[in-house]
Amino acid sequence: MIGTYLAALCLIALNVRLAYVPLGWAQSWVAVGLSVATIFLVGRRYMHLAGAPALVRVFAVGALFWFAIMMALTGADYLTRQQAGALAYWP
Amino acid sequence: MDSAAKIVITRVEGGTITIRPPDEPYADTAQQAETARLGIWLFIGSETLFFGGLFTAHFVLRYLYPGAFAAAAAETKLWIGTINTVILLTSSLVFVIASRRADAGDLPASRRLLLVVVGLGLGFLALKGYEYYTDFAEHLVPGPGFQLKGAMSEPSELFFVSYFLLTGLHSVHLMVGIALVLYLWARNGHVRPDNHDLTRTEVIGLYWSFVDVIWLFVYSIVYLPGRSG
Repeated sequence: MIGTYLAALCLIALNVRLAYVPLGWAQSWVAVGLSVATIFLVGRRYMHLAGAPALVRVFAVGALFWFAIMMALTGADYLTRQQAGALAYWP
Repeated sequence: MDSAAKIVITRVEGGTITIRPPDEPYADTAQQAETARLGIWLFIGSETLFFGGLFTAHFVLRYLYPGAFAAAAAETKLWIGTINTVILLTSSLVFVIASRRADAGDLPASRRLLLVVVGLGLGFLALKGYEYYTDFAEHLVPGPGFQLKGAMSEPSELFFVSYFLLTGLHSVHLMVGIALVLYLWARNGHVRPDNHDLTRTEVIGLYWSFVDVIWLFVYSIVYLPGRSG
């Protein structure tokens, strides 16, 4: 429990430090990735997913799955607009 | 009344726990607790999609205006965001300890820790309020008086629209969380906990940690970008 807290604090400190290091295109991915790692720790121990029944885990993964669908479909639209020539219709 | 409906008192580490019969329509107390757990996880799933829509909109705008979003993000107060991140993480830890004290039958200790959780939540809101005050003073609120003028003015304003929506709605969730913890504190005002008290504590603790999780994500997309020049 305390170990999880200290590990999460280290990840937050690392995230702040890396925010000031020029990492180019990877900057955003690193920031989000380290936050997701911290969220994983909180979910695992503080939200009791580590020892949770299978059905509870299915509910948790289901939430992330639907979120991923929303991100993927929206991303597929915006990332391919240029190819489709749709940007020409933008004001 | 059958044998399953009897009240049983179990001795645990810090005292005793009363096992009360399940409410209608549950077959047993374990099934009732499991249903409560699944219920809060279903709610957390719907909340994930609620905030997910805002996150998706933020990512789309950031993809369209990367420079303006990085420049605007650099205007946020990283030290306040970071302290608030640590405050919420600490509050999640304290809540888990409070929950364990309740499980061990020590409800008074659990209630004292719940007050610490409330204090940390109020501390978060006080810092957030101060940050909003400085945002207003520095003309970072979208509208006619917005400060970051020039070619990137409109996309920068869009960043702050997203910033106020994400942090504002998160703060509303935190206020609900504080109200729930105070309710739990008042509800657990007796000496010997029962199984319903423990389930209630666990469910509200899950909501509290979820509010922490949302903040961790908001922190990475709102406060951290645009710092490396």
